[in-house]
Amino acid sequence: MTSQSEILLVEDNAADVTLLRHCFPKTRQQYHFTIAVNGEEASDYLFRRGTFSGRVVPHVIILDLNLPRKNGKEVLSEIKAIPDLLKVPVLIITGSNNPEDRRACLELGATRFLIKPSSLEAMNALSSVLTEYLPVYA
Amino acid sequence: MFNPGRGEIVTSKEKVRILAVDDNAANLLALDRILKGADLEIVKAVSGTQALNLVLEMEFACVLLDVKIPDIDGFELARIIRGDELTKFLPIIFLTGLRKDETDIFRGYELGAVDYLMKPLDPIILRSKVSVFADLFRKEVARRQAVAELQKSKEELELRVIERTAELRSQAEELSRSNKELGQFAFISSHDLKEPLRMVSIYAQLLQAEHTASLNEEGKSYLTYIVEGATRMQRLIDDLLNYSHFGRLDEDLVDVDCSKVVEEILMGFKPRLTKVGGEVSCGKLPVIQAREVQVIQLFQNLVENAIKFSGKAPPRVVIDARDLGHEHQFSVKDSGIGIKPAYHAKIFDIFQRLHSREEYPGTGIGLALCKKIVEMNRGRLWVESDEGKGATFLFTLPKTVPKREAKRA
Repeated sequence: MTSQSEILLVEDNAADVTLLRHCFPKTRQQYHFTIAVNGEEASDYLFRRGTFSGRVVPHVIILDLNLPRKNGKEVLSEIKAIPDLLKVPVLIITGSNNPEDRRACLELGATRFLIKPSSLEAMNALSSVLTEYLPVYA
Repeated sequence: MFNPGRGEIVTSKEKVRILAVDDNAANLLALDRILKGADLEIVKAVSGTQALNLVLEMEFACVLLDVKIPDIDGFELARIIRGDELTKFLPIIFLTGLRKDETDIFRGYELGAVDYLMKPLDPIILRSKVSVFADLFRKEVARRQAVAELQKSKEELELRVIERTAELRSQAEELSRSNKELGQFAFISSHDLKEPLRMVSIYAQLLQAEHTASLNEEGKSYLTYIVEGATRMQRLIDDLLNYSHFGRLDEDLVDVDCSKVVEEILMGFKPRLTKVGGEVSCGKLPVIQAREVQVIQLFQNLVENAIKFSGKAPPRVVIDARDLGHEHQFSVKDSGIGIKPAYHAKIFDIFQRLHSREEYPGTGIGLALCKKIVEMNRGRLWVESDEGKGATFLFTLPKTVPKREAKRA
């Protein structure tokens, strides 16, 4: 078994991409990130189109809600319609804690609804949550 | 004054018209001679038909009617005048050349004649009788004019009331619309402000946590200012969001157990209290009908203040409630630095602070929000305190919320 975790990160903001990558636990584990910067790119990845034709099944999908072209909820619905991705945890990580968004996302099958960290403590907390969904390598 | 808009009305200064009806031109001339004066105008008719046309056309103070006229006989003409809505109150004086005939007189009165005069006419009597009707007519004209003016000013007043009401209504609508827009604007823009601010704040913190080694002392202190400023602004936006959010009554009224609310809040303060050796005790608090988020915010802010402003001694805070019959009175008492009475009213104003941020951090929104919440729930919030003697914040909340309000909420 390879000790590389495959992560799909759907996020349009470069600063948040860096921040979220920073939140992944620093262990001996290696991460391979595929970044989709809008909803359509995420769709291309999911349906193995264009540059994403050789995609593998990721271990975790990190999905922002406020995305250009196709919003996070639409992408989430698409993910849940693809059989080989059904068991992949989808973590929504968004900027605002809107109760309606939370309810809608959990109903659509999101694994967690998380808020983007605004402090070091919040980053640590997010780190622990991410650990729960990453594969464990001996 | 003559009002051109109301042709029926003549002013008392205008000449009063008298209609004289006689087929004999000499008689008419005689009447004219006797009556013609500065304030009487004698209109002459030589037949019943002509007289009828004239009374329908213009107003007269009275009619001097010869009983014997061609076409329509005098009595018949009187009957027609009495029968018409427009002329039924027109006074008629019969002029009769016959000897006093009881039948004629009887018929005259029955038909509504007010008087009669025997020919040959006595000028003095004729003048005095006619002048009585002329005076009555002048008085009637003046009365009508007064009524018309009253009616006119009443209509003008009503029109102004209607206009003013419409104006006020549209102003109220405009105000409520702009208020709503402003609230929405504040809410949305605060949300949008939070995103870039989060970026500034988190990267400044990361820089501080992971890269201070590459900065000299001056650089490190600059970074501290950035982190502090960003943290303060985050807090400010959160508080403003809460404040503007509570302007909207879109949450349901539920039974809220205040004891449980305080218990949960105190769990949050536990690490801080342990660190400084503080103590918060809470008496038995009632279950109230309210919006839970508001109750949480209310106690959260008051307890936080009580702990924050403890001074050098470890905080001692007592939360309690009293039943005042129709309402509950809550109190949050601390043993802290206290507040001068001069500031008691001021501290509830938004953005009002009594200390520098270095002494006591805060946004100046907390107590304003508490006041807003309490007042929205028809209660009162005040403070009892003096400098150095601790402070007790008290607020009341009614036991029952009126049905109409519960529904509107």
